[in-house]
Amino acid sequence: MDKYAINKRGLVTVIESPEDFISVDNEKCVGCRDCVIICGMDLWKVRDGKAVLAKDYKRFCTECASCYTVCDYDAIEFTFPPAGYGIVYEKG
Amino acid sequence: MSSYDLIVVGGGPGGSAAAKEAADHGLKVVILERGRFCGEKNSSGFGLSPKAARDFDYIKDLDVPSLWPTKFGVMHIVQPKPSNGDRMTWGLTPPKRKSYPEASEYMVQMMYRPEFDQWMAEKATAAGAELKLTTLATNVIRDAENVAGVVDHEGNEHRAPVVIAADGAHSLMAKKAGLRKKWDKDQVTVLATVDFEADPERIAEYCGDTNVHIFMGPDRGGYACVFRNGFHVGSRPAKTLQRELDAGHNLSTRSVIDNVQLDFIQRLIKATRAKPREFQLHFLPWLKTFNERIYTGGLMLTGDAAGVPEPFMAEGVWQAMYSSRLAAQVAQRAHIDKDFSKAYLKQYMEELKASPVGVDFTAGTVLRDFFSEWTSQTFYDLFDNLADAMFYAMLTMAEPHAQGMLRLPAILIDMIPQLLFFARYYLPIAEEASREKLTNFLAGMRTMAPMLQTMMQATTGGK
Repeated sequence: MDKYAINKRGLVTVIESPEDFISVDNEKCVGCRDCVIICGMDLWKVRDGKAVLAKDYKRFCTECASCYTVCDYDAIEFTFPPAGYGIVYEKG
Repeated sequence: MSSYDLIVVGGGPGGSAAAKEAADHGLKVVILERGRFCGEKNSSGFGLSPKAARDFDYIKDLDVPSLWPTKFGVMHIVQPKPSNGDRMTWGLTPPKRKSYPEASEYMVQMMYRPEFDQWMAEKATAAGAELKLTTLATNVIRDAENVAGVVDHEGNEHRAPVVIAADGAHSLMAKKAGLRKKWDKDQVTVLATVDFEADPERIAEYCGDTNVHIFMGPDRGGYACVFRNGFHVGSRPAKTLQRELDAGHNLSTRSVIDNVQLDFIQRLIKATRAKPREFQLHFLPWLKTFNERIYTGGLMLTGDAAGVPEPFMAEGVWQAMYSSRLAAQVAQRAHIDKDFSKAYLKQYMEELKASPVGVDFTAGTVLRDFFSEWTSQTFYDLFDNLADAMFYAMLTMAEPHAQGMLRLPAILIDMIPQLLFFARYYLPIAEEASREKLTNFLAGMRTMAPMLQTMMQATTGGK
């Protein structure tokens, strides 16, 4: 069955944004891990009690905004990549 | 700076339905779409319900390469893990009892979203609407109390006395207009989907008329929808984000990867020589009630931005089209009356709540709880017993038939708590939906009572 294993990151097409579109405010973050749990692309970690976004998140983020939605402390800011960049769903 | 009668933010089916409606009635309309093509940012359209053809004449002309109306759907009750097998499977044609013609012609029209979204956008531009692709609306322009246009990511100003924000679940317009900062964690869900590329000829040969599979078991649920040239395997919208946090892991993503391992999915993959092509995460509102304000002076939210997906299965495309067209009609009236105030646009929400979109939220809380039970042990046990009633009791080839039949009452008695469990959800839903109908139902039961008594007497009399 390995033949049909799903490699999530290999199956997303993303035009890498030249700008950041997600940011964390370390003053507000309490390291609750909700963003780590909710991210379907596994792009968050908690290090030293603070949420850390993967360095290469702009290559894999599907722009679902779940991390922004679950953050109780308003520590995560999310907009969208500039038009023409970001996730491409050819077969949505 | 450019000026319009109406700005539509978002070129999904909702945005295009609004733009077409307004352009058909002579308004100068622009659609601002952040993708390089319409549908680039949308996943998991799943399918268009027959309601769309009932309510939108032009849907009857729909023709895109992947389009496949569902004439036969299959439901699978799947065994608990580690098994990947079906416990019970049955197939269905569309209902024969007609509420309107399309409802009994197909269950749903399957197609890929970018194809549909672009087809819809062409309808809007053919009616005279302008479509600006690769344009991300990032802020609203205010004129005293009212929204009076939007600013795009390059700082260009687009002005109109009224804006329809059909900009999706994470609506920047809702945020900038001060209507909603973010959804509550219990109001949204994420659907994970894997798209497979597959050979169209093999799909036609292997699938026949069957292009939708719904499956549920005690520990998973989801769907497979087959297009002419590929298919999706999805997780059902099982949980809101709050429930996922409570569980401590991303259920939707995990479950879609599990779902691919189901035996019938593996057979579909092998028979059609399919390969995984795209992984998608679809964030969508999934409300139980429809009460939050979706308008302000000069702006109306529609589609996912307004939270219109229905509370049971989270269908949302028809809802987006319906709510957006209604908003466009209100925008036309606002132009006639030259009033774009919050007080005037209130009629949009009032009409939407009274429309079939709003009525679909009747008993929303119970409906949601009921839907959650579809992947419960009780639901599974009910079908487990049904399967035994058929094949352990009635159609057994392992024992003499009369011996098998003796087992039937015991199995049926076993099912009583499971049926009562259904009643626990059904009765409040029915009560909320219509007290009048419930009364009729009970009256019907009363007329049946003497018949049942006669039947009982006949049995006892025979002894």
